[in-house]
Amino acid sequence: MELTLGPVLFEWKKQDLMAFYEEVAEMPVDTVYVGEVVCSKRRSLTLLDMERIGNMLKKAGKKPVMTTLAVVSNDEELNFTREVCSLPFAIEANDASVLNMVDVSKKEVFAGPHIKTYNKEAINFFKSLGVKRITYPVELPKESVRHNTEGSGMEAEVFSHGKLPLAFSWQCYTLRAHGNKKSECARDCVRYPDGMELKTTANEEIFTLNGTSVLSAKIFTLIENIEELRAIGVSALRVSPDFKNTKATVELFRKRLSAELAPSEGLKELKDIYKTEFTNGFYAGRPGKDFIPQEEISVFN
Amino acid sequence: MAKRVEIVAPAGNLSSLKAASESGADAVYAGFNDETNARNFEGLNFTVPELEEGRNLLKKKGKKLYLAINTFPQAEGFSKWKDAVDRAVKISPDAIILADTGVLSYARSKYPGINIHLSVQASSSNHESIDFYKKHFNVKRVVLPRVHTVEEIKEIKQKTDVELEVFALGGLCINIEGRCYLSSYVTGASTNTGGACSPSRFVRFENKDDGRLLISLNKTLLNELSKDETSPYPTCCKGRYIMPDGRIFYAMEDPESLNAIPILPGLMEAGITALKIEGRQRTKKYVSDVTKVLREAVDSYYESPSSYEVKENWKRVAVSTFEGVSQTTGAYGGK
Repeated sequence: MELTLGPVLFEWKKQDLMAFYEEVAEMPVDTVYVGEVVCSKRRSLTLLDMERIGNMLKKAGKKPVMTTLAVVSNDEELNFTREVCSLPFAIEANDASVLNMVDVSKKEVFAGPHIKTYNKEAINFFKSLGVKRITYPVELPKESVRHNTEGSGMEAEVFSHGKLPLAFSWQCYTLRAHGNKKSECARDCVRYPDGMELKTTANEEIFTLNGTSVLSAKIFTLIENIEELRAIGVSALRVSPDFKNTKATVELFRKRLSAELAPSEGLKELKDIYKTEFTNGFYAGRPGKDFIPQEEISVFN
Repeated sequence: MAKRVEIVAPAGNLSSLKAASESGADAVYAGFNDETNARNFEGLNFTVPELEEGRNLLKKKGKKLYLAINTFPQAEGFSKWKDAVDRAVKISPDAIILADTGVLSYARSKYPGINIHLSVQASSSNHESIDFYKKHFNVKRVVLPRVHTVEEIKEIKQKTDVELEVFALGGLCINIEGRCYLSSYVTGASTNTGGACSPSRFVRFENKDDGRLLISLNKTLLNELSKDETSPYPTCCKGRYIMPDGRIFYAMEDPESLNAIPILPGLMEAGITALKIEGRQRTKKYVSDVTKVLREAVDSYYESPSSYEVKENWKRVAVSTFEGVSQTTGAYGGK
């Protein structure tokens, strides 16, 4: 089973991003997604940077996959997406436009988490197009992951760790917080490398604003569920980067994958890194905000 | 003369369907009373005989019926969606509105001749994506998510011959439809999976002695209103949260509803085919009131496009469930 590193969903300074990918080249991950998913106004990575990073990762023995915007609403965004598709790497489609623009017979195409592959019939359709891998929507419960993956003949990837990308908008939430509109973008989001965390007025950590997107405030993790995901036939586990703990997290996932650590040990070490509570509710078929103990999840077995 | 823009009104039951028809709708959209459609609220929606009656009624008046099967089935549940498509085709509506790729595949291969509209839940927001759905599923029309400026809609229409339908009035999704999991993060049920955002069974209103009203969704507090404040139907995107700087703020969206009437000429001239009214979960009075206003606005545009003016009585129409909620043109008016 592969360990993959998802795209950086936040806006980081260019030097931070470049330094990050230098570090990624040394991390124990197999596949790395590179590119902008959230907002076309972000420009920390130029196409040339993406190509350089891709080549560097390739040299380091990783598989680079360029990823694409979750919302493509105008010609500017479409042109940017078309350019990303032209880079000489595999591509992750987060919007159906990519599946229309890329010749699947000439390029390896993955259907990303925002394509919304909820069922086997959708998988069969994507398979007929020549799509190589699908990443399930973040809210897909274990039972559906199992049903869709077993015997599907399609590589399946599961979002396994990180703040959950929950929504995408035309409006910039970071700018809104500063009293501005998207057209007045001054790259305010670069000041929030892990997003702006929101609490309810009852002090519950709930969402994270990140440019035009909303993520969970809490970190979702399937560090305890690796054995069953492997048994189901899942091909890859995705860790979504954060500003400080990515390296420690992927190293821990690697130890779990190689069975150096038991599930509960993995969770304990993860708690030592993040000093916070986690969620896994989506996987358990419950509200995403909840953390369900393993013995309750296995009731669904 | 170019074909006139069609007004597509919502109906959650037969009396709303009749009201829509009598108030000037050209088409009515509706769904079965289960999770196969994105307005699966309790006590709402149609049985097969009711839909047949609705179809006959609309047909007599020269109006159309669209049937929405626009949620995303999972695992063994898929057969229920297949069955919904089969039932829908037997009712013989003017189109079925689909979102999921698996359901689209099934419907198109089994019924090559039917009209398919792509639901807003499919999040198709550019001409390449629209072309993809046309090529593979021969969709006749796409309902655009509420993420475009009028200018962007015009750009899309210049590059596609697929009909475009846009929302004109009603509740406003600030996040792109079909890619929003805020409701399932808090409740476990979302529009994609359960057929409803922020299902009412999870909503609690609590009156405090000091006059405050606490609104929560599955025990997550979404808003605290003082005596003189109002709120639209409680959803995560319309909640008030504590910001990192300590302010309490409508972090995603003010309590507002969509009203595109002020910019109707621009939308119509962008080349859209249909204007949609949100709100299958709303009352017959709402359906009747907003349909009448939109009819009047559209007709007044055709009478004299250059002197189109928003009339006073159109402004008073309640597009929100709750009074005092403001109105917006959303992304249409500029990003």
